[in-house]
Order: sequence, then structure tokens, then C-alpha cells
Amino acid sequence: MRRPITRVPVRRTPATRRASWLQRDARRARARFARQPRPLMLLEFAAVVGLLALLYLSQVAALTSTRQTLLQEQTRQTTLRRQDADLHAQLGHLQSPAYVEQRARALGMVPANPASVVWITLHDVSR
Amino acid sequence: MRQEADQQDHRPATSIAGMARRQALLLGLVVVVMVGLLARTAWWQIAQGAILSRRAAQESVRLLSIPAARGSILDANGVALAVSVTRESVIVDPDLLRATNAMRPAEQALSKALGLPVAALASQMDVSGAYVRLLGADGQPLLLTATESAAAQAAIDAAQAQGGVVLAPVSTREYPDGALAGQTLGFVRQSDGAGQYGVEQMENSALAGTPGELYTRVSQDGQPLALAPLRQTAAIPGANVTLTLDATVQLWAEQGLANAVRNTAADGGEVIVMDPRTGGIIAMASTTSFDPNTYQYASLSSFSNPAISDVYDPGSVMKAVTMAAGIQAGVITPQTTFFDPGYVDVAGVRIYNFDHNGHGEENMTQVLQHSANVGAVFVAQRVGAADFYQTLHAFGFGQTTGSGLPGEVRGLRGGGHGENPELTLAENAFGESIGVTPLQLTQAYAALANGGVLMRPHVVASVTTDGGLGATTTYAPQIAQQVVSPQTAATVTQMLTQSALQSDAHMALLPGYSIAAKTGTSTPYPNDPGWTYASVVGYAPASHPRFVLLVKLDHPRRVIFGGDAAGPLWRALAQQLFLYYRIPPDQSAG
Repeated sequence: MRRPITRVPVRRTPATRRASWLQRDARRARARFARQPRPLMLLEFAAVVGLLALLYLSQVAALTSTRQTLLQEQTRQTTLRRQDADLHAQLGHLQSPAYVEQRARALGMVPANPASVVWITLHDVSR
Repeated sequence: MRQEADQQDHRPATSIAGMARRQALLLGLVVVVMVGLLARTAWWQIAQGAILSRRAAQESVRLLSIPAARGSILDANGVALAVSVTRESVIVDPDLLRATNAMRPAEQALSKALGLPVAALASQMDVSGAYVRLLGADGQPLLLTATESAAAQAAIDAAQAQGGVVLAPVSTREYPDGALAGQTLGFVRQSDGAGQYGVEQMENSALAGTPGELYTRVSQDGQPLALAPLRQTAAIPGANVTLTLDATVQLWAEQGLANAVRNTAADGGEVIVMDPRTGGIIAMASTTSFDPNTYQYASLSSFSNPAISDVYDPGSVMKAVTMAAGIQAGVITPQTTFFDPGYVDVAGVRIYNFDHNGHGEENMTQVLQHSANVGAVFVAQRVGAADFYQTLHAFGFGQTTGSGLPGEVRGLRGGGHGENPELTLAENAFGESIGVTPLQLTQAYAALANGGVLMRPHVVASVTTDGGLGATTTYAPQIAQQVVSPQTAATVTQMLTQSALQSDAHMALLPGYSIAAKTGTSTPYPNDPGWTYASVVGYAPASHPRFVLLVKLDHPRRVIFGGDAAGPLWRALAQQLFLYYRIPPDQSAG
């Protein structure tokens, strides 16, 4: 069997008083917001959107700049690799035994006669 | 009066109602249009969105391949034998140059930059058409270096002929030493950049590298947009391959061989120098070689390397292997004697010594000294066919050497089969009726020089990834097998050294050095005994061999015997190698 609900007078304590003040402040804030002119609200909204857009654009700009730098560096790397290969090819030609022999002959050198080579064997040589 | 007032009151009410109806109609119309547009947008965006995105991507997004630079081939001392470089060819659009009145300025500017006469350029450029690839003074397409390209580009800009003259990059393979070791190196096919023949083919996967990928949006003319790479994988340059080949020794071998062929009026020949301790091939020369820089103009037959792909009857140089088989089997010693009447009858066929002379009582070292066919038959018959051919197989005959070079053949081993196995065995004993490659023979002698250990011949010493900047893999020498005991190898070496000292043939001797070598003169055409393969194979110094050297001449006409024809070159090359490797004499001269 359910008991009948009986109303009991509430005693106002400091806590209940604080709650009532808060409710009153909220009502006043809502009233202030309702009284605020609409263009100002739009400006605030536009400012926030603009800020976000600015942030986004700055990120995109930074990314674009970095990619451009990367591309330039890659191009430079390709050029340097190409120069490196060219220099290797030149070096290969200059080190080629046929070229060295040709240059040596042009300087008046002649191949040594192996039969005329004298071997000197040194014993007990210390540095 | 009152009626007028009523009418005035009633009119605005009717007008307002009409306006309301019209507004509702307009609103309805707008709503219908908006709903229609929304539905259409939804159709394209949602229903057709994926298809449209795919189509757009197909038109503007491309997967571009970034070519990887091909690695270099270096000799044992790091000298570049093959390098890949980027050159620029000059492409001209005569129609455009004429339309923009830039033909004359372009001709003059290019003439100055390229060092070609204006008339020569005008004859190429003053034609109708939109594509002309300029040729140089030699009639070959111009390929500019980086420096030349910069000068040419400046000239093009100055002449304001940017659209009509374009420098197009072309990757080319260059061989700085020209034809040097052409057959060992092979070449790179221009059409697809694939290595063909030689090391270029053998090590193609390592040399080629891994192409990169650029998945990017492209402009209307197909150029990749710098700001829109969606995915990018960098190309990995090919590996540098270092060979065991020594360009200097290779040059001596090629020059010496060319001289020997000319002096003896031979048809051609081969020279091989190998390190017996490792199996590393130091030089491999042939007279049929070609210049890989201009492989387009070489004959197809010149691409294959006869040192590994042609077989010949080696002749008496095979007697060293026959002696090794006899000593290893324990049926002879260097002191074993027999009577040599100058001929021997085998299966109804009379076999003679090369000079038809009998040497009477002679030991096995003297058999080598006289290069007596009869003595070699005597040994092979004592060894028996089974053991003899087992020894030949162990020495690497009848199979590829494992060098990995493309085009290597197995050779033709007698095997004691056929119509007359007894005769075949006898002929094989002195190197007739058997087909070997020069490399197989060099490998066999290297085994004798290396204490009976057969090494696998190879030309690649190491591979360094990433164009020489990455990790290096060094290929250690590989032992194929122990062919004969170290004692047998030492005994045969001693026999070869002694026989060379007192050789009937004019063996190439060098004062102060012990040389283990054998001459060979094979006559594969019985009806024409003057048509020979003349060769000398040997190693030195015999006390601690540093190199094995084979010299073979095909059909020399002025002198036909191995010692006379191939001996002088063998001696000259050995002398140079002693100096080059700083090998002092191992015996007192005289």
C-alpha cells in the first residue's frame, strides 16, 4: 500500500539560496544575449570563421612552400647526380690504360724491357 | 457613399489574397526547382560520385615512373669500365620556328653553341615538319654533356626559340675504354635499357636498380604538378659492380693478341689470365670483340665470347691432365718408362707422334717434353676409360665452369662412347676428338697450380648497392672441388716445369722463373694438318703460382705449332705480369 505524499515546508538554507542566485544570473544572461544586436553576433561568427580559414591557409601555404623546396632540392640532387656521372665518365676515360699509354708515349716514354729489369733482394731491412 | 466605402475596404482584401496566392505559387515553384536541383546534385554527388571521381582521376592523376640510374662497372682497381650518363639530344620543330620567324636566329645561336657550321645546321633544320633530331659532324645524333647543354639552352633562350628547339634528356651507357673487354662487359640495349651479353646481362638486376613511382596530378600537357604529388617512391640507383678484371692486363692481352694474330697470319685467338688461388679472371681477350659504345654496328657473332662459348680440340696441352689422371690413379709416376716407337695402333688405327718420330725408352716427364702422343695413349690406357673420364669430369670438362657469364657452353667430352670408344679414349688422351672452351682449360690448369683444388672462375668481385654508396657484398672465391691430391698436383707441376725447361717445342722460358707450362697443337682437320689450333697454357712462378695464362691462336699460317705461334706472346705477357705484380724471380738465373 503506497503512502500518500505529504508536502513538507522547505527550509531555506545557504545552499538553496546559492542555487536560486545562480538561476537568477542565468536568466539575466539570457536576457542580455536576447537584447544584444544581431550584426555584432554575425561579426563574431565571421571573425571565428576567418581565423580558422587563416590558420588553414597558413598551413597550406607552409606545405606548398615545403613541397616547392623539396622539388627544388630533388632537382638539384638530379643535377648533381648527373654531374657526378659525367665526372665518373671523364675519370674513366682519363684512367683508361689506353689513354694513359698514349699520354705516356706522347711524353716520350717507352715501355720498359722486362728482360733488362734487375731485381735487388734486400735481406734484414728494417724500417 | 457607404457602398464606395465598402468597395474600398474590400479591394485591398482581394489584392492581399491574390498576392498571397502568387507568393505561394512562387514559393512552390522555387521549392520544386530547389528540390529538383537537390535531387540532381544528389544524383551526381552520391549515385554517380564514384564514377565521376574515377574519371577525373584518370584524366588528371598519373602514375609516372622515375627511372633509376644504372650502376657502374668497375675493374679490380676501381677504373670505370661502364658508366651511365644523361645526355641531351637537340630536337627542333622547323614549322614552329618558321611560323615565329625564329629560324635564322636559332640556327646562328645553335651554331655558336654547338660548334657546328650554320650551313650544316640549316640543311637539317630548314625542312618541313615538326620534328628533327639534330645530328653532329659525325652523322650521329647530338648528345650534349651537362656543360654543353647549359650553353645550348642559353643560346636557345637568347634566340627566343624556346618552343622550337628543345633539349630532350637521354640516358646513355658509356664505355670509357671503348672496345676493351667488350665481350666480357656486354652492352645495354638502347630501346629498353636491358643488359645484353656479358656482365651487363649477368648482373642486370643489380645494375638496373629499382625505378621510383610518382603518383601525381598532372597539368593539361601531362607535366606533373609540383604541388600535387599524392604518393612518391624514390628511385633506388643501381649497384656498382666491381670485377676481378684488371683493365691494364686486359689491354696488354688484347694488344698482344692482335699483334700475335697479325704476325702469325692467324684467323683469331683468345688470351685468358686467371688467378689460380681464387679463380678470379684477370683478363679475357678475344680478337672478335666489339665496341659496346657502338654495338648497333657490330656483327651479331661478335657479341658471343669465344673464350667461353666456342670449343676446340686443345691438343697436347691436355697431356698434363692425362698425366694427373695417371698419377692420381697410381698407375704411373714421373719415372715410369715405356718404349716409344713413334706410333701406336689403337682399334685398327695407327696414331703417330706429331713429328712421326720415335723417342725410344722414355719416362713420363720426357713424354711431356717430347709431347709424345704415344706416351699419352699409354697413360690413358693404363688409367682406363672409367677413371680417365671421371678425372676429366672432375677437372670441369663437359660442364660449364659456373662463371655465370651468359652464353657459356659445356664443351664436348669424349666419354668413351660412339663408334670406336677405344680410339676416342686414345685421342682424348692427347687432346683430340674432344671439345673444350679456353676457360675450361684455364680452370683445369689453375687446379693443378692450386694444389689440386678446382676454383670456380668468376669475374664479379663485389657489388655495392645504391650506386656505390650502399652496402658492399664481396663474393668470396668458391671452391668447386678437390680434383686431385696436392701431391699429384705438385708432381705434375714439377713434370711440367722440367719438361718446359727441356722442351722440344720452343717453349717460352723466362730466366730466373720456374714455369709450369705446356704447348699444344691440335689438327682437327685430318686432310689439312697445317690447319691448327696453336696454344700455350701454363702458370708461374711454379713454386707459388700467381697467375695462369692461356694463349690460343686459331689457324696460324706462318708458324703452326703452339710453341712457335703462341709461345712469344705467352712469354711477353708473363714478363709483363711478373713486373706488374712485382713477382721476383724464384730461381737463380742461368
